Amino acid sequence: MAELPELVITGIAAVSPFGIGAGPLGEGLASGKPAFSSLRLFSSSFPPGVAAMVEPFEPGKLLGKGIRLMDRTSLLLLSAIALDLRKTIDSMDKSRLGLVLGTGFGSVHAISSFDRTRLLEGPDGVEPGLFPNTVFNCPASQANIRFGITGLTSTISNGFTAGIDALAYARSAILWGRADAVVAGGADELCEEIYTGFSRCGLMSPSGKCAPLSPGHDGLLMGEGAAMALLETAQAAERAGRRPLARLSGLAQRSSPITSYSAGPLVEATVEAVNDALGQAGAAAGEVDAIFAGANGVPQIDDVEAAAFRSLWGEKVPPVTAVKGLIGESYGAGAALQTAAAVLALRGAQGRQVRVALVTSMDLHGRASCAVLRAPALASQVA
Amino acid sequence: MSHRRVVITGLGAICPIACGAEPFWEALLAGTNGMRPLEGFDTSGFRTKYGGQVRGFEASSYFPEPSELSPEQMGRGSQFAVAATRMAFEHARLDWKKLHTASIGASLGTTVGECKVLEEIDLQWTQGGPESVDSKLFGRYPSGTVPMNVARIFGLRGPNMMIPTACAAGNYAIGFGYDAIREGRCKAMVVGGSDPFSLTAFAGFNRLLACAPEKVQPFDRNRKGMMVSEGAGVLLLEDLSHAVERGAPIVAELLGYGLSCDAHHMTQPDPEGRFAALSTARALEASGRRAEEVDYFCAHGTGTPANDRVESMVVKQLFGDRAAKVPLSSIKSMLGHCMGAASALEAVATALAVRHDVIPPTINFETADPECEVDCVPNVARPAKVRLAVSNAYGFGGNNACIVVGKWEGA
Repeated sequence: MAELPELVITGIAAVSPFGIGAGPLGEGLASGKPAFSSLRLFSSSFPPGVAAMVEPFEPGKLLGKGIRLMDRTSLLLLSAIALDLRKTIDSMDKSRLGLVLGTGFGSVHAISSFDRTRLLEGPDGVEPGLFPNTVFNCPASQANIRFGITGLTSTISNGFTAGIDALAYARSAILWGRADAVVAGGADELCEEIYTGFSRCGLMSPSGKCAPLSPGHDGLLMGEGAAMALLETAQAAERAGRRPLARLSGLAQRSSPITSYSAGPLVEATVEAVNDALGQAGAAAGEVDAIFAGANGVPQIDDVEAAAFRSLWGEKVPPVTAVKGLIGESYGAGAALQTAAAVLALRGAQGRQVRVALVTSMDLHGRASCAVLRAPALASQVA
Repeated sequence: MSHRRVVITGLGAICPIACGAEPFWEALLAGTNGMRPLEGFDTSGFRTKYGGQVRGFEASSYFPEPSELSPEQMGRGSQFAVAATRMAFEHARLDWKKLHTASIGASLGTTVGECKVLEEIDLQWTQGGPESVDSKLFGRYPSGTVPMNVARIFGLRGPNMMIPTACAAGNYAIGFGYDAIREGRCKAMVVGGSDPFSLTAFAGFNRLLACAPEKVQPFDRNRKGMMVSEGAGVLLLEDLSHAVERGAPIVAELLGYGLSCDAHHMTQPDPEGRFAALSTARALEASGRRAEEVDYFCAHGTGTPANDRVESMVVKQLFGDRAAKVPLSSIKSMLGHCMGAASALEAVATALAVRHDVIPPTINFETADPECEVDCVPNVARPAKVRLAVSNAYGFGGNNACIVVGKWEGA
């Protein structure tokens, strides 16, 4: 695939526990203050009773009418795009624009609520207007409808890695000429069903502290949000006068088809994926200035990433940022928010020069995905 | 960018009318009606008592021995997918135990994922609160586990994707696998879709008044709706050179695919079917073929008044004066609507139609509809030369996907 056109990211949209917009995300990450607080979206008897929430969240202010029946995942996604990308995409040919969303659950709260109503109130008790919210592609489709994006749409449900895998899907769509540009990333809501599931699976930190890659790590804390990148060819961006924020230079995914949990094959899969993505980017491991890791405080996940980094860099591992330590594990949005953080770092948000950033993610199902981002060409000459 | 060609070498099918690619094909040609009174739950209060269920499915008989993973450790959607994948490997005469599995991936579609797991969680939750739910259920629910369970059972280390684009998901997943092979990221892909019978979907379509009372009658003037069903369809896609090298039986060639999005309404199609037609036009263009060459149009054909009327308009836009002459059929008349598995099962049927030069029928057809001026191959399978076929799928949210399948006549 030698003759592939260069792909760039020309816009970032985000809704995170730091607030609505990519701006608050960058400021929150730079502050280094965790966004966790006591649960407010619902009550739960399960520990730890702490999460990172998008709160306050008043989507009506941004979106206006037509949102009464929408699920929270859709609202998070639509708000992110409306604030940060709408102006840009309104200037584009939307019949050649795509949208690809990574989401772990769509809105499992909407699905479960609908199903529990069926159980409690019978066939005629369910609200037909809420039925569309029970499909996983609802959030992406709501965004297509709201913003008039008709080029193509897709939804990827790959657990923690979905945000990066959505970028890979978008890259293929552009490379094969299915779309000129794609808005790609991830979104997931925090709801009682997800919170209960993670707690009952023993993945959440009993101490209520999310400490990725730290000796005391004992589990994750939940988050929520949405992050989307506008991806297009460097040529198209230049033609339209859209300034690249980053170059998307490498994307890779490996599966580690383990039958019972063991770290070895997952470490190997992560190392292979990183080497593949670096190879695509024409970057040596030593050139990586910063790693935006998927580490979320769950010891098995943190340990796999740490072992993979040691295997790749030995004692000289580049600085690792685990954003989930500040904003929690937001599943399908997780890797997308990591990617947004990396783009912001390439823009200098971390106060130091980052030229090559690596984003890594793996999930307990056995997928390992990563992305290599480079600072835009001639960035130093851009005012 | 690439001159790699992608061929279909193995097929697997699980649905109400048959399990296994060959029994499936025989049942299709015989015009078998798979819709039966539903079992296993109380249908009182619903507008229909009928639907499609896979009866007597013994997942363990498809799981390789020895395996560290048993069917009980995963949901019915994963069980269907594993079983259909095994059928596809055997049909392709490919011994997965001897594979270099780094070069094989899995890409599957679904509408509701592991819905039976969630229904059990919801049942326990409503009866005894969240504390009472069996904690083992939670980890089995995320739909991303379905293609990973396939990878875990067969040791596949290549790209792994779950694409839940509702009722078009199977075609989307096939398209992803096609790209992965053409990009040289792997030599073979397990692609398709899987969906268990969803009570949520049954209740929802019932409430939307979309369900037919007794039978599915696509393109019939008196059609009354769709029927919820279940199943899985899997195709093994291979890089042509890989298939030729190992002497694989080639069923047909996958020539390309096309996507589009209505951006119109969550449950209603674009009233003129413009974007559905666009997905087919794009698929043909990507395949380097023209609409005039299409010998068979495998329809989405749900049997709802709106879908079949709009799909007939799609056919008119694509084929013009030839619209009423292009053989078109809806196997949903026999299978019901298998949700995310539907277009995967239709892809299996399309590949076999191309392979055998026979077009499966649209059953339950009684009265022509002036709004559906199509040749829907009524009631009886039809021998016909099928060199080129398109299979079309339209999902909730206006997610449209079309694949193009061509006859394999040697390189």
